[in-house]
Amino acid sequence: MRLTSVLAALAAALLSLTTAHSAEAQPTREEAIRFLLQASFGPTEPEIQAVQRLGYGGWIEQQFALPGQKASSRLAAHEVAGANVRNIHYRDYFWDQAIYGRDQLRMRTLFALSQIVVVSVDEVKFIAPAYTNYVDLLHEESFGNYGDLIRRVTMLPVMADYLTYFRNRKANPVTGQQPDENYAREVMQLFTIGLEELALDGTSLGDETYTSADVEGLARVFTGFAMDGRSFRDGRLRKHNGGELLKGYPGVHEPGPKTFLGTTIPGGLAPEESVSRALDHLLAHRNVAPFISKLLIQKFVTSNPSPDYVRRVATVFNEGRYTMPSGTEVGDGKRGAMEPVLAAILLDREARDERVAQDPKYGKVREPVLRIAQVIRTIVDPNALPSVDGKLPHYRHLSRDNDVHNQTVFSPPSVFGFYRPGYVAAGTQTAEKGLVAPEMQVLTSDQIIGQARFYTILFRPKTIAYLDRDDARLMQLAQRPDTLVEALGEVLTPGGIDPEVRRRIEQAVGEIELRGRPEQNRPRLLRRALIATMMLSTTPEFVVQR
Amino acid sequence: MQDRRNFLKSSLAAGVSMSALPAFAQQSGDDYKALVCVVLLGGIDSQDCLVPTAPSGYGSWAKARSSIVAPLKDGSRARDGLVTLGQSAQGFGFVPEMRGLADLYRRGDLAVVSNTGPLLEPVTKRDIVDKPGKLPPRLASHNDQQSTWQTLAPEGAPTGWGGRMLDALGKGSDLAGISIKSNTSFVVGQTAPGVTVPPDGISLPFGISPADKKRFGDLSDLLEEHFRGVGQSPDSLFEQDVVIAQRRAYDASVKLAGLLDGNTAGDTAKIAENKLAKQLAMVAKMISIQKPLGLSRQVFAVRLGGFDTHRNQFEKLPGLQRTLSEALLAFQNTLNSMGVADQVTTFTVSDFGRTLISNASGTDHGWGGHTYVMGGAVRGGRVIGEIPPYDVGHDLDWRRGAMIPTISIEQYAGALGSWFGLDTDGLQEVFPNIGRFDRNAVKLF
Repeated sequence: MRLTSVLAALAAALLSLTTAHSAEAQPTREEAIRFLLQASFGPTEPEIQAVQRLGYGGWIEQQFALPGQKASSRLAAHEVAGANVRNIHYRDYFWDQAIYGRDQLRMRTLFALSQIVVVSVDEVKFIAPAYTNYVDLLHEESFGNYGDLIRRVTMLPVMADYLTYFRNRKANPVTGQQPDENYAREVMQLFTIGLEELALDGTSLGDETYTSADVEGLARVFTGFAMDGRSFRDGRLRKHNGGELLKGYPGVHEPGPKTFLGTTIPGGLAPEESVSRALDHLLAHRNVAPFISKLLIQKFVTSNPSPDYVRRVATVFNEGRYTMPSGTEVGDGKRGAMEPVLAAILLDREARDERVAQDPKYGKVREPVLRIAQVIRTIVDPNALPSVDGKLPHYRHLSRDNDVHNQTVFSPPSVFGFYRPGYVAAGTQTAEKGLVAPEMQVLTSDQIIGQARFYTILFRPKTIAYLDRDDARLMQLAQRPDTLVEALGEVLTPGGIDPEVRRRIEQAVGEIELRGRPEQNRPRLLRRALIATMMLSTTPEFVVQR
Repeated sequence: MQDRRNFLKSSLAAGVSMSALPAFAQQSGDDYKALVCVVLLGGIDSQDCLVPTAPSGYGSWAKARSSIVAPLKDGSRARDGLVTLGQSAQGFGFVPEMRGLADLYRRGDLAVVSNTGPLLEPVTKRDIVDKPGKLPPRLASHNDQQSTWQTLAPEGAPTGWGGRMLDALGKGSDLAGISIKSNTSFVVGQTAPGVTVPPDGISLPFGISPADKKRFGDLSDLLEEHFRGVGQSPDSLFEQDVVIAQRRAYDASVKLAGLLDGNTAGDTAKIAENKLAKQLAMVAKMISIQKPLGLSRQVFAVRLGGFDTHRNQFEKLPGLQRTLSEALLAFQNTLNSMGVADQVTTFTVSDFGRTLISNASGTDHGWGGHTYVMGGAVRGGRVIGEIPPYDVGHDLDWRRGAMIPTISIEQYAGALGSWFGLDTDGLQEVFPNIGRFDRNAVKLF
């Protein structure tokens, strides 16, 4: 059940009362739209107005204040309504929030973090409630602290299951058996410090950060963890205990000292204490700020940020504080505080200044999920809100594990994500200029063809059952091809598109001729809207965010 | 590659005809040849594929990994269950799940290239302890080693050696490098941009099918112009890339859908529930249309994931081995019946081998690993190179019994490249470091 638009309007009115006066110049409508492409799942009329009214900083502060809706509370309601929680429901939850939620920035961040600190929902056992804790954790730490995210995620059974340190054992001198090294390696390579020593601006200093000896040393830390039980062997992950954290079993934890990256965790500590000290050491590494800052910039703004941009954000990451344009300070001064980092990323002049965006090297290919979400937000009722009770609405074609988009939310093919941040698209213009193009990795022929075809699904009569498609508005706009293309193009391609392409789209829309009485034209008007949507969202100006 | 491109440009400017261009190609006529790269993602555990069959070797192997061997109650890692290969196999046999590869080996269609991996130069344990600088970059990192096997450089390399071979032979074109399902850098060169083809068959863009064309009329033409980005030349490099990617996707889909309509070639390579077999069946289909496509050289990439068996290896690996083995056997049999067995060579690459010494229930990242080369042209039934002892403490024990490679990727790839038609200069161009290694060590054909 969805809240009515009356409630939505009320919520918007309440929020406008809390408007902070800001020193920023009021963004133009086009600037607001461009900002929302970076900070949300796509601009809608209410959000465009909110950004113009509050300014960029004010909008971000407003977003920080929104509590949002956690997976646990939504899924609890889903269960109360008599439904089971399965893998697909995490995606239903995601799409419901992404399309209709007001807490856009938090969900964008959650989505970004789910691709950096990966646990694939389709590769862990006993998903509910164990996986719920993971999604909730991403939700909390999206506006919390990156270091806390790593500390807490390490103690989640789904992470231990996914990266295989669940019931990992100390070395066995009789058999020669050694601890599993998987988490030790990936927590360094992917979650904290990366492979190369970095300057604060993210450029490589040339040396590799760790050796296989460091991996072996750190691997000894992640030993002796299972679920609470009568014994280590008994401590299995089951449905009833999936909501609990890992428990350390001292007898199975490596007893000796553990040496890695220039530190030694003394022997004889409790397993949890060994982990805590090891992660403290990792998170204090100077690479963390530039490494994570750059990954986040790539997710929100541009694939190849300048070293200065990375340095500015990394500095904020280390300081844990940021002064908003309103004068309000965000962040608690702890390293890795997320709110200051997000503000620094989105308010940086390299994100905001449109002259910077004119550089041919600027921008990023938008990942499939973001493109789909935006197209949907463009055609649904902008005042609808996510469901809060009853069974979760089922986002059939979006939530199904499907190969068409090469991006099934919460289900990357490996801990390396859907695509690599360092991916160079072989044989392209960007490759020739030495640029990375991460999202190009999932831009395969069938993805390109399939995503364009996918938009036809959004306009099928039945699809309206799970999308609040705003047919009245679409049909009104579709009376005239130029009006339709103008209105959809304003949000889909705010920087404008090639005039010849625009004429072609208008002409194509006009090929669907209207005839007879207005009510008989319903299918033809919706077909017009489909043609315009599909063509606009396959323009390079839409696929690439600048 | 810049030199080569300039050469192409200046040759064209000087009015040299294209047919005179394949400068590095051996004179071998226009016979078709294809290389099929089977990417095994995650790092397949070589030491759980070929296992010592003699009691002593088997005993130390089983002891080193008792935590994986003991739980296999079905006996699939029992010594007497191993599929022996005869004298040529240095006392090693395949695990029973890889019986298909054993069959191929015994009938001479498959060779094992032992202990292959990235090397800067030939090294032993002592060399790398004394001089860590002799270690290749980013060992044991999945993404970087996947890239290294396909491009000879860590993640971020702009071309793969499959594509570069097409460049060097003057055989690059839009459909010369084909990845099934996922973008794979192996197939991409300067002149072969690489295209992805879905394993389930080609789907056409909206409004473009012959039926739609009839129904849509002018709208269909407008959509075609739109999807092909006619008249589009954006300033943004990313937008340029997107326009080109969309145009290639469109053109390839339309062309292939037409040629593959009703095509049943390759269907015998399909096996129910076998994802790799499905991809290889699509490769067979593509090979069956090489004449109408007008291609004489092609490179393909297919992939199978799940080999990163840190935990519960005994539950996960056997199924993957069966998938791999059955898919390769069915593919080779299909190529035989298509009459192209001698023209297609299939080979495996994987991130790395794994540690011999197990952890609680699996194995960790290693370095060198065994690879398999299959085809009618291959002098099969042989193990190339010497398999190091499955033990610790020897000259080639990197750590925990993981093998230091004795054959470099360049040697391996170079052998395939010679068969593909590259002469000495071409090999040198595609594999700049090949001269650091013995050129005669890997004789596959």
